[in-house]
Amino acid sequence: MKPGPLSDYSPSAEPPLRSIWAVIGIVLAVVLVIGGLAFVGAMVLAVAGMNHWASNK
Amino acid sequence: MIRRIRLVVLVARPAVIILLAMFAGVGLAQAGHAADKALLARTLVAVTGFLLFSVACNDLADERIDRVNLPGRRPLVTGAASRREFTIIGVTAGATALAASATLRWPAVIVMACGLALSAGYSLRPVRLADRGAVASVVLPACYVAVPYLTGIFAARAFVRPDEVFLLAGLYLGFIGRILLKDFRDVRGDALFGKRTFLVRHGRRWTCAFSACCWLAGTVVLLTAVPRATAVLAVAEAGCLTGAMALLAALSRPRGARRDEALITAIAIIGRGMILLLLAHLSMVCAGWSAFRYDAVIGMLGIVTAGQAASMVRHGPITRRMIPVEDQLAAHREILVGSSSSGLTSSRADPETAGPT
Repeated sequence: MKPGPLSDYSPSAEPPLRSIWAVIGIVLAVVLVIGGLAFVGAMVLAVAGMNHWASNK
Repeated sequence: MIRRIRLVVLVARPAVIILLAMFAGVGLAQAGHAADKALLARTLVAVTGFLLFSVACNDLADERIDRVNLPGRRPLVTGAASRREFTIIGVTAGATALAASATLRWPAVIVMACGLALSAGYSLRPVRLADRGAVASVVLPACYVAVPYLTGIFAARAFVRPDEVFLLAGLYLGFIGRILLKDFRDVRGDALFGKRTFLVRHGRRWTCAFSACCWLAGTVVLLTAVPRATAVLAVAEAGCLTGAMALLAALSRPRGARRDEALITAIAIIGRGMILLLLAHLSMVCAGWSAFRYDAVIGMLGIVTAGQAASMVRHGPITRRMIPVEDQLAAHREILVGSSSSGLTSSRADPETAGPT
């Protein structure tokens, strides 16, 4: 039986939608860095990158 | 040497350090120095030292609880580091934080000294505020929000304006709403060792209700206090708040630890997104970006935040592949008796027993 979302099944491949949001985040970060806001760009990059992982803060 | 560097990175907890860096950036941008890289670097050194000190104190004090709540996920629990190494890291980091803050304006040293004292009191006996329920939920956000934010402001100048204190109050209230939810993950160990968290005392529904009140109050205060707020920013922040409220409503109904984890992580994504929106707003206003570019960035940030939160709710977080010690022993036993089945694919959470009542 195919496990549904949020079951204890852990997929081996990254869901494609998750990667799309990460890519958009990276593009936004690059735009901010080019626009002179390097720190904000770095934060966007870091946040977009770590949003796949479990975190409570 | 490489092992020690890796240990320091592990202790720093990347997710938390990003959060504290954002608060420090908001403080610096609020003081009108968003683009000053030298000030930012010194502020971040001080804030990183503060975080390392806080984590070292917390991990030393909570070693037994972490063995239950976070098996295999803390260096002290896994044996990757000794208590002596943690003590050295803590003392060195505390001294570095004070020294780095001394290179800023004088109030930064006072803020840092108070923050270090509060952080030590939060974790270490005889004070040990972490065991005191509501007090812990109030003190920890003060450490995580006020110290980096005020250090950021005092990096630029030696005074703080009333509207900046008001903004701090908004950030602080919002963070209380999020920090209350961290206890869902730790509820087993907390109950076992008598740590009277808000969740242990009042249960799931009241925790979610109180968290929602903090989110609402924090967002209203934040939007009132933020200088030169725009309609786009207000819409983006209000959208994030609406999403967080919906997720809190879902979290108030128990449906297993795996779903709780996904919902809490999605709420955390929204919380980080709201701070990022604020940081981007202050930085762009400071840099004099045009309205079109400003609206585009704020809009995209809001969309990415919403998309990542929705994706998290649907798919849950990426699961670390780890093998609890019990499962490893069980697997060895099975191999020894010639069984073909093994427990080598176990995930880290026990979905049924970890949920609070």
